[in-house]
Amino acid sequence: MTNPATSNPAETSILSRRRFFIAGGATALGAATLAACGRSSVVNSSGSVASTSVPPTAPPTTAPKEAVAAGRSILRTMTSVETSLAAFYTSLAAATYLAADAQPWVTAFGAHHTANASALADLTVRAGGKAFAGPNKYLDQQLIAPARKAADAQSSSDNLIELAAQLEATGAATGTIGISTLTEPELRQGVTAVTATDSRHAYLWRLMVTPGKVVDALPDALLSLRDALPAKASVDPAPTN
Amino acid sequence: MTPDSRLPESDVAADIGGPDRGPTRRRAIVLAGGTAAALGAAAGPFAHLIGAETAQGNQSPDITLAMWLVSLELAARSVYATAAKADAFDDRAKSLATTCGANHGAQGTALGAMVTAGGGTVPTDANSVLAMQFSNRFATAATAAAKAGVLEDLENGLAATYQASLATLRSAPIAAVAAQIIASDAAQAVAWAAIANGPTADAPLPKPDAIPASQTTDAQFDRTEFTPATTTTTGSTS
Repeated sequence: MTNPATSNPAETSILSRRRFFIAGGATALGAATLAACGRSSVVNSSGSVASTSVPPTAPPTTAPKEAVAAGRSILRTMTSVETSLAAFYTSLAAATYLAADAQPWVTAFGAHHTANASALADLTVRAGGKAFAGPNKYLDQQLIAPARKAADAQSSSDNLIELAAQLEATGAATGTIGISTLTEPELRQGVTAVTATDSRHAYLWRLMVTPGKVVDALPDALLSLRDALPAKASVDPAPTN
Repeated sequence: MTPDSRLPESDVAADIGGPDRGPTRRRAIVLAGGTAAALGAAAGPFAHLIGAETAQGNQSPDITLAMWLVSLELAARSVYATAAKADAFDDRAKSLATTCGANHGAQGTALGAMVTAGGGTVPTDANSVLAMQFSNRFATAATAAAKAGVLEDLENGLAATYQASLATLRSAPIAAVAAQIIASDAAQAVAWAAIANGPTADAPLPKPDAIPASQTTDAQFDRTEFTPATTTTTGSTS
């Protein structure tokens, strides 16, 4: 599947978009929402996150209003990410140059993201929030559109698959980084139901672009959060609902 | 593939709160990898920071659950120690087994740090029920593909177990580490599904049904069934 001639400058530029989310010291999404509810967090050099919160002496029975709002914002933003991913896979129907063996996965994964966006929207409502409908504009504009344009210009199936891997890694990391913001076990469980799937998707695509490299395609033992969206990707820059 | 431990302990202590912040500004270290390890080094005095104590001062159910999860990680690591030497496996499968074993060791270490921070004692014995069940299945699997299928089941079972654990975990730091582990184990399950789906030796891919629409708890290892024969505990397990 991998094109041995993938090292031309144009393609390299697409591949270099990986990790772009943390370029320039972008603040991770979880950091903003935590800050919004009186917490803070930092992404250390390895991408792990240390966040801080006012310590409970016992598990709280009622979460602070701000924390609840921040949690809803995580759910809404994750809904938007899943919606963008679903739309991305739908758009691949027009990519006639995409390798044939990728097509079944495109169909299946698109359906997964559609279902998961719906599940997260439902979860938002159950959490007392307003479900978000629509894609994540930041993700669409900053990564998907330019990378897709470059891939189309070169008719590069490998670049499309690389993009899919990056998007899935972003979904997994963005949801995972939000876990500590969510206050209710049910909400955490709803998000990890999605992030685990995104992680499986990401692995599959990485395996496709590095055929046979079953070890190299693995994520870290503790999923790295380097790929998480920055705070400005939140659909609620200042969570209030 | 090991938990990051580059966050200096001094940073942890500072983040927990120094005299300049005062007790009301004391903060908990939360989340992920190296921070967990660093917090573990800080040990018992900070147990309350991760919700490790009940209002009565007893060890919380979260810590008890984390201890059990550590025992599962130790069991997984032991299964992989055998798998990495299996004659039926080629070098690629052996390498994958070695990596997965190391990853489970790292995951156990991260959780163990939480246990230590919560005032518990980190288990040193693998969960004997899980280890025996999967070691036996692995030994009796007739082919490399079948053995890979056993390891796929192991990873899916662990991912489902962590997913189920999130239903009861109250501690945000422990839940955050669990979330990172779920995503990692889910990917490892796909890796074994690819190996199991040979014989495309040069570029194996899994069967489509190896990737479900969402993570469920269906394959979880039930705590009442997978009770370790020996687990070191301290304090009450209310």
